Amino acid sequence: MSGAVRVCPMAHGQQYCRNHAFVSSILSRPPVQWLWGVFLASICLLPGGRAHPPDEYLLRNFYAESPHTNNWAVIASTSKYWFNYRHSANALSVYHSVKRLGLPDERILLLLSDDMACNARNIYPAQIFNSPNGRINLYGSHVEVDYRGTDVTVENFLRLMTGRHDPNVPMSKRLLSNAGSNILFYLTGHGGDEFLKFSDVEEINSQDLADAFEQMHQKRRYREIFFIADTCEAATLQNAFYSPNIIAIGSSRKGENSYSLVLDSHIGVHVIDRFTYFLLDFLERLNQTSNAKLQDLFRSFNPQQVMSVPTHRADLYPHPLSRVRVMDFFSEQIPLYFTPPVQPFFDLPAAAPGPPDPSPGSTEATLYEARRLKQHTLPPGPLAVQLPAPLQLHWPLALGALSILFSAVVFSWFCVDRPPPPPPSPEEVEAMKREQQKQVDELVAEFKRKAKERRKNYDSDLDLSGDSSDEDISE
Amino acid sequence: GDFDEALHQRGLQHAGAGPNMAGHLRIYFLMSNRSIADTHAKVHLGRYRTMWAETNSLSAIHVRSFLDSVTTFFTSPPPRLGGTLEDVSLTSGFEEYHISVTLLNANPDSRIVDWDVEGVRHHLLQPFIDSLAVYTDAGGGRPVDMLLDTQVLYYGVFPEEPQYDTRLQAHVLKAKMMQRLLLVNDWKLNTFVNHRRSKNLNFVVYVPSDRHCPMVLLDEEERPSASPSFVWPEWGGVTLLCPSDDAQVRQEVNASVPRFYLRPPDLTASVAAITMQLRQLLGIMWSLSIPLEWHYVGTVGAVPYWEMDLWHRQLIHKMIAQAVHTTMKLDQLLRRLPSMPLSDSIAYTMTRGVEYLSKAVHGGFYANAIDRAQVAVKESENAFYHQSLLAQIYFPQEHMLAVYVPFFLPALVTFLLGFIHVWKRSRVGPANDEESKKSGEETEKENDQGTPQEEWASGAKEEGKMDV
Repeated sequence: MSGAVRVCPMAHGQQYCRNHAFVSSILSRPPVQWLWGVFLASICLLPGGRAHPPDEYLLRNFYAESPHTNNWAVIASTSKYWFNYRHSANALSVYHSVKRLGLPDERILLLLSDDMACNARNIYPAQIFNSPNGRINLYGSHVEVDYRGTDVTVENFLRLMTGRHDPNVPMSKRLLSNAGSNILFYLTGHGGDEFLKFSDVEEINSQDLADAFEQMHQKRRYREIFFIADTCEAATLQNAFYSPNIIAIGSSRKGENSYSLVLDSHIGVHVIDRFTYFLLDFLERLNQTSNAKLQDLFRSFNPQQVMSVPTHRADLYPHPLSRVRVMDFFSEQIPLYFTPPVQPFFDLPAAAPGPPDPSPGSTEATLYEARRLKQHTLPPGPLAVQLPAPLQLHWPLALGALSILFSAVVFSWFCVDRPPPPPPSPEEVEAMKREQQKQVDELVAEFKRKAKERRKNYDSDLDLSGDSSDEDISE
Repeated sequence: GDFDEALHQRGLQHAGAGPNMAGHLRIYFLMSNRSIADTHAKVHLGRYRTMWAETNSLSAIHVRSFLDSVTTFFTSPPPRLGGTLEDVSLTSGFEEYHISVTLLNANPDSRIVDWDVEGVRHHLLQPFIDSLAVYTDAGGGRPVDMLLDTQVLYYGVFPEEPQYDTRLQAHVLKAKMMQRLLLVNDWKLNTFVNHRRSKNLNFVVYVPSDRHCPMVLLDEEERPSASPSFVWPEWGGVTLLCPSDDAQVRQEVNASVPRFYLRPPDLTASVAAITMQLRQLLGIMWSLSIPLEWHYVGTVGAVPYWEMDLWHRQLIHKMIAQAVHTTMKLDQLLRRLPSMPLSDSIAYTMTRGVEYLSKAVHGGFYANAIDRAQVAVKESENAFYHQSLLAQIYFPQEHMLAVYVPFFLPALVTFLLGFIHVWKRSRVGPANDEESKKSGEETEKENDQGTPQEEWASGAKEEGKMDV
């Protein structure tokens, strides 16, 4: 066909002739890279549309068991009055043990019902000790008490557990645990059959504790709980627990008392309880890397020495005690995950950059994007050829016509169920692994080369009589 | 890049900027008359929401398989790279993310390290973080807030002294040891969390002592890691940096401690690692695992718009799951404790939360859906954690008796005793009716004789002794 417009017969109508002429003009163009732009309308990713089965992984992940990601400790001494000095000493001793083993203050909530350190009867002002000899002050500027005095109430304790605080309560006084948290609860004070006294005016029941734990479980605010109580008839506090993943130990059984250990004749009161003393004795022998198990801890208590029978409850706990590390609750052993290597992507001059230079071509792009667009130019793509002017004018119309046609075809494909794509073949997986290994080897070689250079420079600087051996200098 | 920009501008002209752009992807098929043997489509994925495939055949099979692969890629979970088998991304969605970047100089006695914080922030960090926060083509809305802080700390220690490896000719740090790095240092990091829907993520550029450089990390199998960086889930990440000699500042000859000044070019690798760690923790890994046959036009630094859409969809799903879970648990709690008082404010909050949840699920563009999901989470958590829901303290039976018995026991005892008496009388009554009648008649006869005076008088009359 020639490029000239033919005169069409009147019978076809002027519009037909114009369209016909347009098509003719297109087809009659010289052979260039024809650009037949076609669009595919959207792959609709709107959330309101039909649920995509692959998104179910998000819900599965949400409800799956979380890995252990952090630790918390709630340590409470619930007794008031000077003669209960030992309970504060108990709590502070456990606090220091937990801190020594690595838990930071921001994840320890310490509740002390009374201020023994500044009591008028304390001959060592601002100091609290837990043994008559080997004086280690448990109280100092490095101790962060979150709830003190009249703040230590059953209500506040339950609010702490359930998270139902007044909006004005600061975050430092809240238990901000999540589904990956292992929480240590340590309570000491006066108690009885399924109750624990708070500040000598009220008491908390084992059912209250159990309900609070259940609410924590429902709201996924813990992963595992280790509950320790050092009171009279302490084991009865755990009778009512019914939430999973809780392991509990009490210093004495029903009908038994828990006793103090030693009297300090200078201070005039008992300074520590037996159960807590032997608990600390066990923990003192551990460090962050210890593999001691909970079973070892429970077996370490000698009823004759403790003068009561420490009783634990493990039926709610799914793992055998012989495999659970004590450090899972007293320290943090969080697994780390290496970051995949990525090439540096910033193309900045070696000298300090000057003031920002706005790029006139960018629309909403930031300065960074403008610089990247300028500096990272790709080789010319298929559209590098400038389109002729008439085609630039009319190609949207062609696009629109063809897009309607193709969209009808493509949308029909979306309505048909298709089999899932085949998984990658083992060869492809192997090839990817080989590629990654190759990258690792290259990096290692680079490290070696640089280290060798540095050592050469180091040796030459120190003027080691030219003995540049490659043997290491172990430190 | 220019072509991508051109396509993006053309798309904006056609569809217009606004929230309706999110979640859409435009695919262009470009016909080229290359060699017939080369029938593979050259696929390019842009930084915006465009994709173009260069092909010489628009056969149905090719187009269909290509679209299948595109659909699979955009609807699949984020891939896990670097041998990470577990998902280390955050389990919940948040409204605010506090990103804290720290330069930690482990041993300032051996060298002093400083950085051009404004340059690093302005040129390296802020653009990436801004790309996560702002919908530049959705009316400037901010679905997620990203706040950036920086600081310099001193005196960091390792859990153990790093050993020198002759084979690698570097000091090595084992993964098991590095697990405890978080514990042995008093980081003094920014842990401020102003509300439940805010998250702190800490990233540390750890500059070891000069005697420990160079340094290599060993993984669990004690193989050298490809990158000197790692993350802790829910916490943040650490990247090691041994400053190069280029960053050393010229000083006087008798200066005791060398000084290093890190400019943005010196920190590109570290900031790239931080960017990567942030992607790991947020779960934004799609652009790092594009199929090999696709060519990604953008860089791995900035987050492309389509990836941001995928991340926002993920956030929406997480927040919806969170809101639904919270609502369900509150419902279960209230059913289990029917006597728990429920104030009107809680009911109103719950109603509002459910309403927004429904709106988030049933439509709306991404920017609107994410806002609604955030409101749904906020309202459901406000309802669940309302402070008035603590009034249900367990009331044991013994306490109930101890409280109510002093009120009712006296009256009860009296009533009981009276009842017993009446009952006894009612039991004894039917057998003795006749006897009681007889005794009643005799009693009446006795009574007919009059009063005692009259009886005396009658008696006296009979005796005649008294004249009445």
